[in-house]
Amino acid sequence: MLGNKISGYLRGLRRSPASRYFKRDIRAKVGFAIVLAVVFTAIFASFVAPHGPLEPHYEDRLQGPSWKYLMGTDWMGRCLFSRIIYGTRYALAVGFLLIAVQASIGVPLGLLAGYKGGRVDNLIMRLVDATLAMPGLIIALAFVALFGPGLYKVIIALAITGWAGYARLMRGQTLAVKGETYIEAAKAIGEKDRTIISRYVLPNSISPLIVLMTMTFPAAILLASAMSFLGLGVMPPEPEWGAMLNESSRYLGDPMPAPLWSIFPGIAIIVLVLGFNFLGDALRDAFDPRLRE
Amino acid sequence: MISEVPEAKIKEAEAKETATPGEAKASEEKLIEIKGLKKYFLTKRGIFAREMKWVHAVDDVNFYIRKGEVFGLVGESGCGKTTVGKLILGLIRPTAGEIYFDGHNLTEYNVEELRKLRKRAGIIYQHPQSSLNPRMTVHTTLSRPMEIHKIAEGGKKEEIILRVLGEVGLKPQHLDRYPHEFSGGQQQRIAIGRVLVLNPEFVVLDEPTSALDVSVQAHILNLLNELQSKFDLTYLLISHDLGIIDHMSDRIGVMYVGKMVELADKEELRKNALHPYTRLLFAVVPIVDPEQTRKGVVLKGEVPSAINPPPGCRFHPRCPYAKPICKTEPKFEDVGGGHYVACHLWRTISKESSR
Amino acid sequence: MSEPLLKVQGLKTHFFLERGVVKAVDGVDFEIKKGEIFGLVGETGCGKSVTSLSILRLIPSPPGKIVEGEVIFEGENLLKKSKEEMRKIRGTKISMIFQDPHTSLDPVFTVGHQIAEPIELHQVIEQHLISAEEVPRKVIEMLKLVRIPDPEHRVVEYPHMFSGGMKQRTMIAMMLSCNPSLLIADEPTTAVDVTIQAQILDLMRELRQKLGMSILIITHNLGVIAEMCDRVAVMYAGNIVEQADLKTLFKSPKHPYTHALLEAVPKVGTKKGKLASIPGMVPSLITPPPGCKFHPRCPHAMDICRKKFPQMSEIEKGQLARCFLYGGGAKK
Repeated sequence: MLGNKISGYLRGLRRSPASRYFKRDIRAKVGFAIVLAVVFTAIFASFVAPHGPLEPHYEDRLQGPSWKYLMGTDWMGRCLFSRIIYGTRYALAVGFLLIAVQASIGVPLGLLAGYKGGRVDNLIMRLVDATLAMPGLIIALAFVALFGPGLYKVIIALAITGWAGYARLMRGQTLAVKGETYIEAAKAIGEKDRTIISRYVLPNSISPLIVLMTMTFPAAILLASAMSFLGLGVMPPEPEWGAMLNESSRYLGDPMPAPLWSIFPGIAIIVLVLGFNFLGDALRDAFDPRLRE
Repeated sequence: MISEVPEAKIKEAEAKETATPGEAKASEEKLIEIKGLKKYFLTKRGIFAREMKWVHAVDDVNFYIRKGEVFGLVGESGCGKTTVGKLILGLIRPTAGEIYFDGHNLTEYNVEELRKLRKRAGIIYQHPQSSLNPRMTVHTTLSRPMEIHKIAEGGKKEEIILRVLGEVGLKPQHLDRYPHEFSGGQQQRIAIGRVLVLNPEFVVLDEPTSALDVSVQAHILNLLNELQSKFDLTYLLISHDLGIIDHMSDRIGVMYVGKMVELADKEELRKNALHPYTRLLFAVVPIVDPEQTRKGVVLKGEVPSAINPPPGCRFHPRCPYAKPICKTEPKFEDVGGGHYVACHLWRTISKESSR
Repeated sequence: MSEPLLKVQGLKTHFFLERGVVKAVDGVDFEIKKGEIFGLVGETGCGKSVTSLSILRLIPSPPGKIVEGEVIFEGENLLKKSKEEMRKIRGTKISMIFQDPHTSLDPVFTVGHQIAEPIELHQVIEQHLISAEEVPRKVIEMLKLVRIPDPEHRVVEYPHMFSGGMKQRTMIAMMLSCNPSLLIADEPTTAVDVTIQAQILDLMRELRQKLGMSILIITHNLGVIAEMCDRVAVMYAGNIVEQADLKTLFKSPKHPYTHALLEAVPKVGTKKGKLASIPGMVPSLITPPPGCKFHPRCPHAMDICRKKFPQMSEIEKGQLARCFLYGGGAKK
């Protein structure tokens, strides 16, 4: 049933002018390729990586790139290439989980605010305003300082403020869609409010939602890496890119310089963030009819 | 179980098919009766405006619609004709007044009872494209009403969909397509089908062809006419186009700034319009015949706003016959033969024209 | 006869889209005489608006392009003019009013400001016809001309304070401020009510008498055509299919499409019953049917209609039709 709905939606999408535009966009191709490659790598990490991410090779500490260790090794002789490969799992997990948590709070609240209007709308939107007025990273730091570091805590910490953007977007979308005649037509055939929201409002506001999701993905990865880098997120020795940067920062200069150890995780973050940004921009342009033809 | 009702009705309708369209005589039974209907909207003008103002969209309107007839409601934009249509369907709730549907007072209905009424009454909108959910296929659009009211399921439902599809002139291969893949006329056919699957008794046609081209308009009007006689439908036709209203309707009501100013049988209204506004409306319609010239009525002024309507007869500031008495509210009175008019001076006007 | 004011010859405007080439206007010829009201009538997508935009060279490009033809205005081919020369012609010699008065005025400037702008630009700066001090007087004069009540006070109001009919009359004032010799009105009354429509049509007719300009009316409304025009051309799928003076066209339409179109309009005073309708749908402009583009919907279609594209031929004096029933230029 759900599968049917999704395939139906995709069918509608495929025939729409947005998809035609999207297919021609070079950014879409590059972004899509990067994201697809990263997802693939994360799933098949154990086949792609030549070594275990935590497996030390004390005889090969702090080496440069070689055929054995494509990106060299760190202070415990762990293969950097393998650690970066496994790191994709953390990056994607943080991105997906954070977006899932933010959206599952923000989207229903936004729908409710937009559809019901009046007092409900006022209450929710004041909450959104208050949330948006809070500095997200500082709140997240405080949260972690209170409850301690860890992947899930980082996600909760970032979701505390991140949902508000989704709520605001959905409210705006809902208001726009609510004015369409087909919503009144739905009432005129006797649809219930619940069904109108789920089958009429939501499917017609999904395009900007997808865009927002792809655009917040890189921000989520950056924030999570930053937290890990500060020692508040995922802790070493886990192969998280931010945590790797944290570890490597002590080896940037003398007495034992290993700058590549910092550079490779940095590049990994940049490439993935760029990939999602390309994808997000291309999607936004494709869905905006004013920018087409 | 419930599905037997429409089944029987369709059979009955098929038996009737042989009757010539347009000749089905409307009964005297009232399907819809409206008493003292008022709808005021609250508006705020400007962002910082403190004062709220009432828009008198519909202001004390009385009429009834007979079972099986086409009632035409004509007037210019902002006269409240669309609001009347939506009030009758319970899509908006009235400020005051009573609406009787088949003897039941809708204004006393709760949300759930109104929802059940949707099975018996539908609406067709002006812009077919925006009245269809762009993310629903034709098949889903047509099945939803039956799913909501649990009228038919499975094979039975598919059967009804296919039959309705045929009635509105679409093909089975259209079922999997989305609204944007159709032309305006076809989209309006889908919208008509969505109403038809429930086998309703009453349909509000809100400017059903205003967004369509002349040749497509003819198709849709013919289709609506055909369906009316075939399925024994009662229509409330709302339009600003006197040509369409006159072509389709049995009786016509004329609205001006929230009030009904005149109501009569079509022929009576055409030959013996009493209200100066009705006369004006007939006079300004461009005639599709260069031999006949439009009577040179040049009207001063603009349609007044429904926020601050003029006191008394709302047409008096533009009316060529206006007298001081027109600043008081005229009665909507019966002048005989079901012809109603809201004008203090109709007797003088009528005498003048017969001279 | 004197030289026509505007002569459009073999005009072809195509839109180059990914899906294919949309032949929106595919060979259109007509002329407008001085002081004449000429009507271009047809349904959505027949190319009537594209024709008018092509005359003013306002076709969005890409994807649109005028691929062939000539637009001779006062003896000069507009399609050969430079951009700068065209800019000077628009608003001074040829003006255009659009369908929706609500969106064609800028909400952030006063009405007076907007009428003053073309006067300042063309008459003060470019042509030195009047001095800058005279502009306000001229603006009020224009508002009086289009019968805006109390123009001295209303001149400083913003468009949202005007009703739809007054906005459209303001547009007309703006367009007439530089005494154009041709006014193009694209669906001038589609967005306003019937009583307002009557006012605007009366005003346009009166101004034609007063100012002696020619008017090109583009509309789908046959009533407006019947009331306003001296001569009419009917367009279908990018071509003119029939052209005649008003009375002849309505009394004895020759082309089956014109005939069907006239029959399809519901008129006041007709019996309830079936309206004559045209079977089928408007053809695709990318791959139009071969031969006469109307033949798939035509009740009189013959063999030749499916194979050859008919030419315009004169049936009676001043009445031309593109149809094989009347020869259709079969020999040519």
